[in-house]
Amino acid sequence: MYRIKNNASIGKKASVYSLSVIMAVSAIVIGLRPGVANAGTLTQTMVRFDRLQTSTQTTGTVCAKPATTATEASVQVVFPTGYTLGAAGTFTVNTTNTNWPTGGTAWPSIGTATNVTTQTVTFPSGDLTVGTLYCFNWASATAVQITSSVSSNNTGSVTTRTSTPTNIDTAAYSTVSMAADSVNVTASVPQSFTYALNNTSDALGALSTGSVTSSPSPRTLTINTNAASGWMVWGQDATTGLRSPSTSYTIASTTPGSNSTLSSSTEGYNMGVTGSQTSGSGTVTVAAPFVGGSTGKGGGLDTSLRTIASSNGTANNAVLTLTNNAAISTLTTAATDYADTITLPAAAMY
Amino acid sequence: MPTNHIQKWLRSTVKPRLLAVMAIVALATGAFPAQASAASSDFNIQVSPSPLVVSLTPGQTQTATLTVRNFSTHSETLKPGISGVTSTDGTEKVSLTSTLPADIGSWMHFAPGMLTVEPGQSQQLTVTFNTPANVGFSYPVAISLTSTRTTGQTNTGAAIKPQVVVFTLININRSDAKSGMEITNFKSDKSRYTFLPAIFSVTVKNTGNVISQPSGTIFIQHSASDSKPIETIPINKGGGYILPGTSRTFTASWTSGFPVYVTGLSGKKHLQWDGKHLNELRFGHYTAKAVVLYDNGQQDVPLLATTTFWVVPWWLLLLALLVIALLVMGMLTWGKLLFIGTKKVRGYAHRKK
Repeated sequence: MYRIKNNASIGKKASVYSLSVIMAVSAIVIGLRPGVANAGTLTQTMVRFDRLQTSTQTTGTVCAKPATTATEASVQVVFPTGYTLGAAGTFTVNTTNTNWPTGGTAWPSIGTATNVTTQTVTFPSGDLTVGTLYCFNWASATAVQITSSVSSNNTGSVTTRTSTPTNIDTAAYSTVSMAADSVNVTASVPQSFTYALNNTSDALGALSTGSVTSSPSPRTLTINTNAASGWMVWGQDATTGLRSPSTSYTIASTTPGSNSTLSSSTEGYNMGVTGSQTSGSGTVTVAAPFVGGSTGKGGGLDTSLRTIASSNGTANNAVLTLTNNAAISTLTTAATDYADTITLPAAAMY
Repeated sequence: MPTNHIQKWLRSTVKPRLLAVMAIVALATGAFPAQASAASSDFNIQVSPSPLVVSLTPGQTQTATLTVRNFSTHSETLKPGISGVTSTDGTEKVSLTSTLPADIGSWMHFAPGMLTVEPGQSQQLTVTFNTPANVGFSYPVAISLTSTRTTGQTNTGAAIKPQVVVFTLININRSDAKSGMEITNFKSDKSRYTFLPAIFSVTVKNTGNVISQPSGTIFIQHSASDSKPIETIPINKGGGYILPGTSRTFTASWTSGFPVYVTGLSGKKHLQWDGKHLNELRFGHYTAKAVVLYDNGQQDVPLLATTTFWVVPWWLLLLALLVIALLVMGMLTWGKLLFIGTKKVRGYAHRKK
């Protein structure tokens, strides 16, 4: 008896569950049906805003490629939440090709918007052919103002409709809003660059075979700039070494392009550089061949313009200390007029 | 009487004054030669704007102005010149060359031909471009201002010739000029961070034929489709330019975290625990979405790239877990003690009854 009763109870439960499942499936199917029946997906959609800066009025372009055969009578563009829209009359349109995507053709019978409701703008449209990409521009910047919030994902949609109106094809689009855009980049403070050299000559005095002679007072090149891209200093030596005009002999620069350390009694000439900076966003980097800091250490200069040091940001008193080092051998021709001219161009980077 | 008084007055008044005057003269004469010798051999010149960016129309004459200021204590005469600029793609190495593009030396001129700037004064250098009709599309060149002074280096030593260079970026407005850019790389320096900062690098290539200045933002989000970013970080805040056919890598850091690594004056990194940023404790999976914009002449063109990374402050979490575990254990122990205590009290009460 109990078993029969229990079986009946299980049967009742099963029917209730089955009914629930059937109802749920039906609800899902019914819920989905209008979408399937009334709107396909546009094959290609684009809503392009000519300006992307927050709180900026802008013109723009709408493009769409229909997927479903029907007779279009209007197109609805839903602008992202937060975008401020003007009245319908401000949405004047044209079909001038302003860098439209490849294949874009003029949207037939497109006209000034007839209705603006919250974020949805309705434009009259002619019949469209499936597989053709149609575009039009809204020509007045007063029609749309970008949202005041920055976002990488402001979404909206484009929907083509019949005269009924019934939705034919629809698709979503996404756009960005930026704190600053690329148009009208202005600077109220111009970038400047200051180059100071504490002395334009560096006398080494009498050279000897007993030791490497270094600049008694190393010269300093000081840079100040607000250029955020930094700065660069190059160097070249017109004679690739210390040249004596009276004897036509040159103490040649030591291996230009690589770092070296001179030693006494071995003829050579180079320039060692060290860098420092009081403040600024940049980091001073001395090019590897010219790294100095100890006696005789540095790089040779020749007639090529070689990068001596650089920085990747602004500079407040970026100082390069330039130490010329020279060494002679017992065979170095005697003269009192060994000299060279080192040219040091420097620039703020772009 | 008057004689004595006069003598006294002279001794008391005139003598100190005379001594003061003599001291001033001595100081002045002593100081002046030193100042003169230092002043004659230094160089201190400022140029603005730097770089100089111009947009030229073919077949037209246009001018641009450079302001040159002399901060030294002597007049400086500078000779303007032009050199070419080359930039190696991938290395961002910029070189100056003697080769000028598009015979630019024949249609770019300076006035005056020699610029003399008095100490503390500014002078304007006018750059005139007689742009031929058939040139394009862009040229980077360098205007150099070289000191004309001789250094007087006669004995063994080096004469140093200072030269201020101003990069000049020239775009030619032609209907067939093309702006184009692409993001070739976007990444974070690590895939996992314990604490911020996270450093991002975005490499942008100029695929057009004009010099462009991209801008942009890195959006830090939990997922790429989020509409509200956690943080926005500007890209190319300094307004750097990219020459056609070359790439440039811009770096940006996400620093708003708790705690956060900062670099001290000594150059060493340490964790900064600022209680004001307690709500910026970062934990989880993040998406960085780079949006780079360039102007194609008609509108902003956005370029998108994304990268993902984790922030797991593991030792902070371990510490928190340890604290929680200790608390739980403590509570359990106390609970147990209380339970035993209560039981004992109840037993005692029961026995008493």
